[in-house]
Amino acid sequence: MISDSAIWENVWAAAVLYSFTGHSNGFYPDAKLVFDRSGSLYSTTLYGGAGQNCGTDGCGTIFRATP
Amino acid sequence: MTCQSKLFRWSIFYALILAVAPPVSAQWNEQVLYSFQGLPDGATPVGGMVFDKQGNLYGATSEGGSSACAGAGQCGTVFQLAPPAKQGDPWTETALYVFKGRTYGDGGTPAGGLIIDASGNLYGTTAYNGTGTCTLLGSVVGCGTVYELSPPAQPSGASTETVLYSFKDLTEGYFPQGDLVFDSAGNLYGATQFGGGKGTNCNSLYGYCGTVFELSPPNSEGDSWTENVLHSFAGATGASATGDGAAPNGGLVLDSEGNIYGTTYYGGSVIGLCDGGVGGTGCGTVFELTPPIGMGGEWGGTTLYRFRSNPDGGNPDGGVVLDEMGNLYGTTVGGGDNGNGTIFELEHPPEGSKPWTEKLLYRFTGENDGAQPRAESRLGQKAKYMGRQAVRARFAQAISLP
Repeated sequence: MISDSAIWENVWAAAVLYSFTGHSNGFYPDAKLVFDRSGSLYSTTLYGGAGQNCGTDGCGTIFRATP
Repeated sequence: MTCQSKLFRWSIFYALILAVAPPVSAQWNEQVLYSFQGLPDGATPVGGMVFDKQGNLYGATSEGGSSACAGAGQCGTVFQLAPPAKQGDPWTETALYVFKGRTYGDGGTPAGGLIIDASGNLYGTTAYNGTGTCTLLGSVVGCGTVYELSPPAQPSGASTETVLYSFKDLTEGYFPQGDLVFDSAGNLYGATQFGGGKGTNCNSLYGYCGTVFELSPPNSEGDSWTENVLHSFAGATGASATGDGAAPNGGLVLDSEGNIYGTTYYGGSVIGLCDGGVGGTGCGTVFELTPPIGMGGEWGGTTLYRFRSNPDGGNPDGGVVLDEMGNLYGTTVGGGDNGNGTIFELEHPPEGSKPWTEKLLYRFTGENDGAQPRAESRLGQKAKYMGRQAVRARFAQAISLP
């Protein structure tokens, strides 16, 4: 069964918690986020970071975003 | 209860609220805990990470690892990231397992994250390798695997990798992706992006439109796991607006009755132009699979929603999450206002009445709020929905839609 139209009410507000700024701090976050007990979020970026062996895009990072 | 103790309890309550719910206007701080180097620690981390009880993180990389493994990007790794003993010191990355290659039969190129059981065993998938007969550009590359990584018996020992299942051939499934999920009986569920034997228009390189599979554990330890294809997708055929989807994303969720919910990136309705297509590939679906009634019966499948790109979103990339009322939440990479993606809710219909209703919770503008959300959504304690709106995928905008 398929709905004919999307409903536009209840539009949520989005808050940008963090904007990746460039190469060294990682870019192209592509994985789900996981919380720790204190409310920080952990995830990975496909590219960026300090890795030297993967070309100019780096080898990816693991990051933590803290409120 | 005294007034003081009431006050104390309320203050604890508010302290907890403040601890888990930062002000939405505040910018969070980001810290890179680890930069991958490629060899031998891995590169291009994929899928979700999981914590163990001690606070270590585990994940998989699709590339890097051993230079002996075939392919320009090597075959990937499973890694651990251990927190420092003293706050402020660096975290420690360890490659727990480096995939060796097809001749070793151990799998290669993870395309999904990990899940963990109560004993600390990790479970994941690899897109290629294993003992299957699938080909890519004329070469046999295997059809992918489901693997388990068991922690070492001794603290200084090595983890043990076991291939639980090697997909045999293209008709059975090819290129498992996304996270696995356990049911309460110990069965594993996942999806393959390709294979399955149905639908001929999905992908000329790999073939067929993908599957949802079940892996049942053996009765005796050491015996083989049993694979059961629950659904083979047929994609979007011709000008049909009633297709069942193509390229399932993995990251499936189960409800308390054993129903399985997930998304497909393509397929469904061919109305609307979507990622990778010039029309005809379909904009993706949300689907439900229902277990058979009685032993030996067939699983049922229902397409709950077919995306049409504009205005309702297109190409969901990360499955859905389920709330207590049975409503589903997810994201689409494209569609919405300017092709920048959406966050959607599928509202569970009242008993006995259909269809499901899509509500657009948010449409990314591509300005300061990001674009093209990917990966799986999370249901947080405070936020009903906490997903990729948390991070602005500035560089994702470089990947433009047609």
